[in-house]
Amino acid sequence: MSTDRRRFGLALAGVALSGVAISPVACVKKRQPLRVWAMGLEGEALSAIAGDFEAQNPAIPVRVQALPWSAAHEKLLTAFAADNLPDIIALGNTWVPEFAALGALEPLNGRLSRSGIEPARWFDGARRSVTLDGQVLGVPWYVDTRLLFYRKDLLRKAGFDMPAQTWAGWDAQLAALSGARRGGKYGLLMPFAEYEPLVAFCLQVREPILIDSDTRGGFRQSGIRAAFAYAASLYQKGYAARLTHSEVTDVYSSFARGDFAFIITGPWNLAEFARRLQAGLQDQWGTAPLPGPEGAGISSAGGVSLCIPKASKSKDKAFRFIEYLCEPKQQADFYRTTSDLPADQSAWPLTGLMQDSRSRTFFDQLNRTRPPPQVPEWERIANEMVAALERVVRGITTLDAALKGLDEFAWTILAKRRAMLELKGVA
Amino acid sequence: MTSVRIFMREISPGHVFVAPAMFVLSVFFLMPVLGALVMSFTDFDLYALADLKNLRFIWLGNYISLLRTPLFWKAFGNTCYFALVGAPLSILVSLAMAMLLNVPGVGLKALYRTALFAPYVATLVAAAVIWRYMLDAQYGWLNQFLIALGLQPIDWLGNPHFSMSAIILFSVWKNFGYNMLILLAALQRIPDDLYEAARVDGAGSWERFIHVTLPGVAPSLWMVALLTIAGYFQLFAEPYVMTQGGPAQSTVSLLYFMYEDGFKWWNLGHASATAFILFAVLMGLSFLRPKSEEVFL
Repeated sequence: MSTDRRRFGLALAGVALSGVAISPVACVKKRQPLRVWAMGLEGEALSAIAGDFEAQNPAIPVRVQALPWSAAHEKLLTAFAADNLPDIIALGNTWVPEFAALGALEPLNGRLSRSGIEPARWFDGARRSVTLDGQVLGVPWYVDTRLLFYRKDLLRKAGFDMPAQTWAGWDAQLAALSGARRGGKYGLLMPFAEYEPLVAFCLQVREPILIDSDTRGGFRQSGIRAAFAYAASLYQKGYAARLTHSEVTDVYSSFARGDFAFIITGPWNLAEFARRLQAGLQDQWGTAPLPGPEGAGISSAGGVSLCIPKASKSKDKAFRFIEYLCEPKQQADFYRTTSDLPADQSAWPLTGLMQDSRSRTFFDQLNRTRPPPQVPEWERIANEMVAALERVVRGITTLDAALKGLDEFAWTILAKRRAMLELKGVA
Repeated sequence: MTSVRIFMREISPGHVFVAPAMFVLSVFFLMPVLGALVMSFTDFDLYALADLKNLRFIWLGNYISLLRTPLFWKAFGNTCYFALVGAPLSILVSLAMAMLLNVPGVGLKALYRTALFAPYVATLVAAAVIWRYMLDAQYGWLNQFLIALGLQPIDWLGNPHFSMSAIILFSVWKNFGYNMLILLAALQRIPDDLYEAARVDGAGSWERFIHVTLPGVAPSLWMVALLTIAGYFQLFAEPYVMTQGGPAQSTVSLLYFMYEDGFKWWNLGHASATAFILFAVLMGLSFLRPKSEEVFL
């Protein structure tokens, strides 16, 4: 799998970089460079930007360490346990609640109000992702969300001009694009390994996924049940193959072959599709908002934010670097090197993003996002949600039994959170 | 003073020689194990990491909640399935290969022995990645082979009914070489005159196998069986690399469950309890011995 290969390369790079980065620590004590941890490709791109920043601010040397995504979470928790967090972490938005629960992050409200950063220009989903109990714990750096990538030619051949915006309309299109009429191929690629599409469907309905101050699951509410039933029906009606993920060897070549017409994925694939699909197909793919129950639907708010750990000894310098990174001009440059979508909306016109209809769709979708429940246990619950969906689709259990099981799972997982909130007298 | 003198008189050179090893063992094994045991009685988690005041002693709470966790039982069942099917299969293959290598008059024995031992020395992760490609539902050659035979291709790693079989297949291939060498050595120790005597008495090849070969290798076979089953209970890297526990959690093993619980979700109390349950199972296994000691002679 190509992304695996990329991650593997990054992991190697991460190891190599960490080796290089750690060695000078012992000897250079007096200058105390600003330590920055960032994940993946962005971590590598950040080193170059840090060089420019150092040239303008010789008093603030910056040392960037790139962590591979796959090892980042463990490394961050271990560093917290060892009191060794850096001065800035580029934290995935879903991890912000976790590090907030650890009390590891410095609230930035005061610094933000005195700075040139305008939180009002951030995408709403990103702003809500980093705000917990009124405290802003990070500055959104880049954003992502999931929506539809699709093959225009296949859709046209099936008799549709535009991708549908509602669940029912999309059903009709998928029915035309799946099964016997296309030689047994599927309309949609949606492997079980990713929980994001299912979570996005659940975020589209009126009821919240977790209820009572996020202390228990609300999976048996009618809306959530409908979202689950809809996701399950995509497999049960034969629109999507029952794949876990390891079987999808190369998404790009199978998209090019037309093995599927739709895929729910994120902005990093804008660049990948442009690079990997052959020239003849370049006019034949597009992006579309995620269909919702009653019209273009909500998707989940993702992205990465820059956070300052409480333990940092140079918070002011760290914030100076964050301010620099989040200037619209820098965000636009950053987009050009990494193709990550800027979190600051005013950076978008500085790039070609608003002229391109594919990225324009992302702009619209980003204005229709909602963060998933902001509890440290969330990722675990989301994993269990998709595991439950898989069991339903594979006929191991019924939908209602699975939802009841999810409520019980959430009840157990959130027990400690309930106990702690009771102590504080909240719940 | 007197107590020191008595102590000095009591210790023998043997104690002194064994002391460094005992010291290392207690620092790197006993103390962590005791620590984990204490931890398994607490609800050590993310919140406790933030502030030790959030740590509560819940005594057997983790164990009770584990016994009520469906995934724990699923992992337990998967692990037993893997160990109880995989280990005998692995030993059978080892024995068969050892007997083939032991046939007199076959040339290039050293070459065969090395070739058959090679999978055991290969890096597990690298081999697992290669096998993942070979087992691929669309392009893997194992399925191409099945299609060539006119059979239905099998979605090895994507179908919950076959995923564990695929992992067993891989593990048997990966591990049989080591046991093969031990059993080969045992086979070579069986005196040829025993076979000759049996042949003179009119025993066929099956009877010679049952009455000469098996008793001859029995002591080694017991040891190999114990070590293999104990090793197979610690299944982790294969599902971690090949399936990440999927599909439909059909390849989640106890250790994989513990790893996710402890190091992904940071529920160290809960994960320690899992570790001790696995420990108890393995201790129980090591008490399994043949009733008569003669087998070991």
